[in-house]
Amino acid sequence: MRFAIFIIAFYVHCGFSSSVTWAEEPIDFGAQVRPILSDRCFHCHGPDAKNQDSSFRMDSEEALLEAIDRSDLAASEMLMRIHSDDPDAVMPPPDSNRTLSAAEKTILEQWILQGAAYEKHWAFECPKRPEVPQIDAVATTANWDRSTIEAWSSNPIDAFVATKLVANDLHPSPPADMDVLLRRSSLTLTGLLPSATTHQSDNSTSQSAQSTQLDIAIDALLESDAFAERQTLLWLDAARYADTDGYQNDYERHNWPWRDWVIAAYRDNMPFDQFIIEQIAGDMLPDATDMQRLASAFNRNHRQNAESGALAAEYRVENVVDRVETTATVFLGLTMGCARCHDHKYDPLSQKEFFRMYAYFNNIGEKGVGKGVDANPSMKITSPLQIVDDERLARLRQADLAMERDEAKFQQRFKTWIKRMQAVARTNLKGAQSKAKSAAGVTELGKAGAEAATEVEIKEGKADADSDLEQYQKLKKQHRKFLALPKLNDNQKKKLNAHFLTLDPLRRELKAELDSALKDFRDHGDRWAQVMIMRERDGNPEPAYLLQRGQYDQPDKSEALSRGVPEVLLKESQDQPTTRLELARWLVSRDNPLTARVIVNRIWRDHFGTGLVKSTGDFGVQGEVPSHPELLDWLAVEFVESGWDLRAMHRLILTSQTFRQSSKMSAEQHAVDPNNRMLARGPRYRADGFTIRDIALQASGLLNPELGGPAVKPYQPKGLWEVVAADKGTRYRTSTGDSLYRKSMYSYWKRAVNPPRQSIFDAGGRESCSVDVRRTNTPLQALVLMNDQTFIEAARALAETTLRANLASDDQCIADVYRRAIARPIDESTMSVLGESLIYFREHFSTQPSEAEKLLSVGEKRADKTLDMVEYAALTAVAHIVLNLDEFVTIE
Amino acid sequence: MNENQLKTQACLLPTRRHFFGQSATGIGVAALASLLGGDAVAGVNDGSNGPLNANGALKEYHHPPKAKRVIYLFQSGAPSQIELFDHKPALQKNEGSDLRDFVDMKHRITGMTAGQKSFPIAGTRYKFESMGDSGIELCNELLPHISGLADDMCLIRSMHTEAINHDPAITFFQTGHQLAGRPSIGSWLHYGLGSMNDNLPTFIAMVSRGTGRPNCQPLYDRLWGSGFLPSTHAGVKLMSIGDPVLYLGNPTGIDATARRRMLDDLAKLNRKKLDEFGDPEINTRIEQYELAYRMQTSVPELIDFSDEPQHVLDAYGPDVQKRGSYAYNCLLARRLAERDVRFIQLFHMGWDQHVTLPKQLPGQCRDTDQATAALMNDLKQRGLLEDTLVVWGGEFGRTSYCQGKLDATTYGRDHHAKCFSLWLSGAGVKRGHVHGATDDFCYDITEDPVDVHDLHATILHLLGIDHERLTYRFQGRYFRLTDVFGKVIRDILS
Repeated sequence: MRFAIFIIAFYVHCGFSSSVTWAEEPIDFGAQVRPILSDRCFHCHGPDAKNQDSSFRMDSEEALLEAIDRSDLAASEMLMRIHSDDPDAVMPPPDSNRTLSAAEKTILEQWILQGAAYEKHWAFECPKRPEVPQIDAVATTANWDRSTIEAWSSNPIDAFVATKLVANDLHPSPPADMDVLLRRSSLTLTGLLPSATTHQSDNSTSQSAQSTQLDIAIDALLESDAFAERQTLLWLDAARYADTDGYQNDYERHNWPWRDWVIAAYRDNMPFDQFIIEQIAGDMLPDATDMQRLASAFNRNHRQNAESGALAAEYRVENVVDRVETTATVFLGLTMGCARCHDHKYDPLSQKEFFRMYAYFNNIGEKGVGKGVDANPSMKITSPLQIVDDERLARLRQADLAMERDEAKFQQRFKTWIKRMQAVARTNLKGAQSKAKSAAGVTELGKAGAEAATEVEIKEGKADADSDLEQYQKLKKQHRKFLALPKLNDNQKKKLNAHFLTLDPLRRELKAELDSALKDFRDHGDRWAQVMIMRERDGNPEPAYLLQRGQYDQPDKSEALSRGVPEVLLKESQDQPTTRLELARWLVSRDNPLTARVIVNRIWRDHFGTGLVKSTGDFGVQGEVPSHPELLDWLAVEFVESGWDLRAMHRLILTSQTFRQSSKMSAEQHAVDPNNRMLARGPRYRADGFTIRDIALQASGLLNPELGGPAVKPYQPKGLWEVVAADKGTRYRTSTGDSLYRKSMYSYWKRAVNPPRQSIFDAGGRESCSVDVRRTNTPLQALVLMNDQTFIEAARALAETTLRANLASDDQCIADVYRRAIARPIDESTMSVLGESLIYFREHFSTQPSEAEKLLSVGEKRADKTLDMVEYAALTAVAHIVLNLDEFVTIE
Repeated sequence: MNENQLKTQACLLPTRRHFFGQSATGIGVAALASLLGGDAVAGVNDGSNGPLNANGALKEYHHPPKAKRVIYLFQSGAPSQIELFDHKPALQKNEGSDLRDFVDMKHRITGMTAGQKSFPIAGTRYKFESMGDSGIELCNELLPHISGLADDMCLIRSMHTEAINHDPAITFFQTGHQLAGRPSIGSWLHYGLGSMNDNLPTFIAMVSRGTGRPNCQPLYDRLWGSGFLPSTHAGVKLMSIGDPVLYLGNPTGIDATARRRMLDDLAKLNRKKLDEFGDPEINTRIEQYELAYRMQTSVPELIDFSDEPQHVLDAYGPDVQKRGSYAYNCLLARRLAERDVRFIQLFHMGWDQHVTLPKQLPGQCRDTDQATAALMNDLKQRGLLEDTLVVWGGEFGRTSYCQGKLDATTYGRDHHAKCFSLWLSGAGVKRGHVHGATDDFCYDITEDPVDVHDLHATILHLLGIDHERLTYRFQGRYFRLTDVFGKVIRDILS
């Protein structure tokens, strides 16, 4: 049993590492010991020394040696502490809610007895390119057949993976069929099925011919717009992109041109270091272009509070904190947010360092509260995906600028106007009051009375007829009522202002020109929008202080903090980056130990379903140890040395034999490695909700491939927004026509009420940065696929396409439906089940033709009335089964 | 790995049949996940009590639970404690005087009144009375029915919170943190204790709109979201429009027989896939379709009130048949409690009386008073109050000074975080009991302060959970509903 416990520990702490956990085998400090120390001990003996009862620390070699006696290992205090029965001596203590299992104690014991070798945390040391292992000899001894060894010898990825497989007595799985691989590659690269022409592939040609064919197909996928869109979608989650502000009333914003910027960058295979620099500090680049400034919107996708009464100082801090946390998570894989209130409990990140990072991001002169669209800094810009006529754009800019320049003067004119109108109102009021008094004996005239009296006065036309009076008389009753009040509140002013906009001649002229320029612009299919961006303030930077307990109103003013990145990540001789631009450049420098690893790990995850480091957002000591550390480092260095060539990295992974294995799982594999961390088989996992909807639309022929632009609103159940919104006016207006069938990445993302289809399939809420992928399997997901009109309509359109092809037999129809949806040929047993299904539904609908008609009426797109309704409905029902299949929603 | 190791490894795993019966989300996998180092790290068995349903992260209760389930009646917008639960004659006596003459006003206030030149004290316009044997003073003018429950009530007058704006405050109440991203109370319970019902979600949220202030503060779906917990644990919102559960109804043209046939054929094909690929997720998917199918029956049956006797319907008041009303949701809450749904949460909007309080508040009270009392009585009669915890309250309190000009009909109150009232009733809490007190000006707490974490710790305690030991590891840290705070309010436990 003791042995069995070892094996468990081995999973718990290493994921799956090659080092077999025999007691006699050397213990690996980084993979086996530090995770235990961190998880069970650091909370009280870790880096957050200020908030710990004990001065004894365990987060460095030097500190540990206080409890470990290297000259007499067996007498080390740590050994006594972990084995003690005395509740006052045992560690962890009983009241800590932390315990060590027997296996963990043994690991610690063996490690100490073996000499207590220490090493620094792997992720904080810069990656060096490891040598690619030669697998020939080892694989031969492990009885791999010749052709497998050969196949696994060319791509370095395979060499690393193979070495580990051999060390663990595992055999690779055979390659999957060509069409399976094409579908798999297409789904992970583009989130779409391979196009109809490419999945007519032939499984019968030779292995190498197929492989070449696949390589060519992958190149084409990498060049496609769909690839750029898919990569953008993944980036949107990390960048917490949304179409609304996120707090309380959740106002709309329009940062979508930034999304288009990301698409364009991926489409052009922008080197990833440049991609990062422009997004972190595009606004600070010398002679920054509009597009580079637009890129900086990355750091303005945070939420923005416009709740009335919210304090600007409080939410300005939240915005800046969000930038620090996002930057740390997305690029460094660090949970820096933990150091906001106190020093990090596990990683060497102090609270002071958190606020030194903060100092890079607090200097843009933002307000902190108010709607996102009004939240400076911002810029008006067109989409980078559009080629806009220079002259038209210049006219628009000019018209817009003229409006902007007139704004202050206009407000002045408004004030004057209000005074004049109030004067008229008062004159009227006085007259009316005396009249009302004498007539009705009213001693106290309320506001309503004043209004009524004014009404009388005007009708009688007794006041002098000058232009002010004329204007006044033309005002709406409500406006006159306001003007009669002793004081105007903001809302009343707003309403009057809106009205004055229509009266002021200059404003009208400017507005007319702007409207006309905009119309001209839009008529040519061009769009422009106000986007929240970064813009560094002139002059001295905003000072930054440590905020005690992370509270916005508790700055420690005794020390102004200079900008800086965490010391642990900085080489000894290296200077601190002093500006946001320098920070951006440091992020992608060769001296940064994390960025390249973090990025390639996520790319890996996007294909295999799990990263080499499973905790994609945490590369700190509490993060998971990499399953293949050498491979991760090799990929990171390769990525940097390729010039941060993203496409090349994807190609490298997709052309590996590791990726191309069959994903069938034997009982033995499941027993040994249920989560496939050793990669003895290909990936198999459920696609995300975006992909599932998109491929249903694609299979049906409904998918609208339009690239970029503002969000669209696909079908969504009625009332979702309305029942929780503040104002009943907040309605979801479903798009119409082709816009209904855009890719899901363009679906309107309201933070208060996420698109339900996406949430049900585990999408994050885009409130804050998220780089983790969740995959649940729930009845609500089944209900979406069973009943959402999206999938009913798609099934019907799919059936329609097949029926229009005038195929000769049921079997051919079913095969066609299946191939369009699953992108490979149907097998016999599936055919037989679906064949019976078709017969059943044909019978079912022929006895109930009205049901057929109802089914065919689902969705906005009209059914083809020329088709036989019964056949059409029956094949729709069959197509709908196909869209519900496990293999439809699964990347395999 | 050598052969011996493989064998040992295989011994640790259950039989093949068992293995295929496990899902990534449901029964079995929690156990497997903790065995193999999954993300779930939960409380430890302290051997003190009985077993739990196998589908939660906790293997055993930390101590014997008093409550099996919770009905949380969230009054969104922040009902005025001064008008309803915390009678302050001193305010009436000093009506119109500046509050600063009596208290230091050290607490931060929102931007809505921060700029006011004066802070005129506003007393309540409504009558309070000592109610029941317990003699708790309540406003029976506005809450005639709820006041009648005084002897069942455990009233906390000393609640306080950190946030002064709705969004962070309500997020704090729901998740223990002011910013979005953490799991809600119901999600924690679902995660820890699992489900007691195979045919309905474990955590259900329902929303109703106040008639006192129809154009009110909004809500957001994340309030019942699962945060960083798997979305399996998210609350399911019962809709008042369309399908009660999203996508529940068959599409037009697909009747029950066609649906059954579709599911049978689907299951056949998915089982074939399972045989071929051996991926247990496929088996889970087959089970989820069957569960979805069962929900298609159990949910309509749930919302079909035709089996309710007239006197029960009458007790909940005239709105009970109106879908999406608070009364309707209250009756649904009882029906859900009967079906052992673990966490049932109602949100009634519109309690944000900044101005014209006398116009708005009576409407809010009318919406909720009778139905709340009916729900309580209904639970009592059926013996459900024995093991159900009921909570009634908002996200903060309201100021004792007037927002804007003080006027008998137009007065209103801004947000006040540092003292407010909330009541509990039912399983495990004292009856006819008042906990905590505030000063004469309802500005500060004078006795037994209770913060939001304490309330959370107490709710978990009543359900048999030590709040310090229900944790979930996310980004390297063990998160709890109560963060690093919270003390069980021992004084209110029965």
